[in-house]
Amino acid sequence: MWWAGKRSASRTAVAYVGEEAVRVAAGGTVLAAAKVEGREAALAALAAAVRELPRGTRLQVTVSGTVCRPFLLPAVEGVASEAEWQAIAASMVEESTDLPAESLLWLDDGQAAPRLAVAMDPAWRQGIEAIGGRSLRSVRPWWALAIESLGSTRADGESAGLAVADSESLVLLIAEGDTYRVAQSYALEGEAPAAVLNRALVSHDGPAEGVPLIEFDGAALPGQRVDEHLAFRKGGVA
Amino acid sequence: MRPLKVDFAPARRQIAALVVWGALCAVATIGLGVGAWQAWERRTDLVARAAADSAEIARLRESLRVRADRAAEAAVPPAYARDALAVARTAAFPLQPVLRSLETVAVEGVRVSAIELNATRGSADVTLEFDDYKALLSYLELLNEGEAAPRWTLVRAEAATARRQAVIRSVWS
Repeated sequence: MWWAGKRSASRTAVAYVGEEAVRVAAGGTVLAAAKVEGREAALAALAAAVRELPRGTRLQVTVSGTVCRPFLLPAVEGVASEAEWQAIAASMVEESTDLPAESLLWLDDGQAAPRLAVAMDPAWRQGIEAIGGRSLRSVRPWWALAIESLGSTRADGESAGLAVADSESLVLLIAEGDTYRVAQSYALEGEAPAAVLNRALVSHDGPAEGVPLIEFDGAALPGQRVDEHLAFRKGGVA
Repeated sequence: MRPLKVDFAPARRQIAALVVWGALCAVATIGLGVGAWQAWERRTDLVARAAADSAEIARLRESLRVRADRAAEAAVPPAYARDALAVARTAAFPLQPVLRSLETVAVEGVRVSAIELNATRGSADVTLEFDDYKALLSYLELLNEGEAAPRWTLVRAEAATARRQAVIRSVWS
């Protein structure tokens, strides 16, 4: 019936996609969960899951830390415009993230030095856009949503950190007040996230009280409830 | 930690908004077109009406001019107008200066026998009897004495009969 279609069209589905896992959830429940290998398989699994959604469902896609990788731009004197910052970031993206030079770039305007940038593999964005079409509402790194789920900034300006481990990578973020001092993505390559985090903290001055670790629930099954603040988080819902 | 609003979603094409906007533009265009067409029609009507009014005014003006010409041709000054003009000229005639100049001049051998005032012409004709021309000319000279130009002129002098008569005239208008 027409009204039923309209009611279903108002739903929003949340998807996660990475090199090794695909998840789709709607209405607070996991609808699809798949382990995959590589981009093509991941996009195919995502497309299959999206096809099962009611027509008109809005789609919010989150991606892993291997698809969207953060990096910091050094302080550069004499940069006059945002276009020049984009050019600087484009020149650094390959060396800083191992992503293609033509990657899509997002520049954070919340801090002047060092500036934080995020790169996204263009092949992934193209594939997700083709699947989501007009229903696609957002394409965000899962680790960025993890930051928002964590809460407020430390008011005392002391160092604070966060490690986000998704299906195949760990993103380490360390900030002093509102200024990010470390933004780095590490491939897990089968290792435990805690081990990778400990090794990463050796090369960075982490906060004295340690760095909280938010982990992706790699064992989620269809029908399982998801965290309302950060879908697909391990231990988010009892 | 400070949230990062990173989002790589492609810019959404607001199809519905574009359709609504297009429909509004179309309605506005149609409305403006209809309004412009009606305004043009009204303007055309007004121009035609103004042209007709101008032609009617010209026709009426010509008609009035013809009537005025005919009335002017047919107009005859009324009798009372002529009488009134004569009365006005008589009233304006300087009778006292004429009489005063005749009273103040006296020459032996010259006598005033008649005075005829013509107010319409503004002149005074005085008939004199005289004994000889020398006395008559002397009388004229005394009358014109003090005038920038001779006011009194000799009109006629007859010496054929025993009575010698002359008529002198002065013009006062």
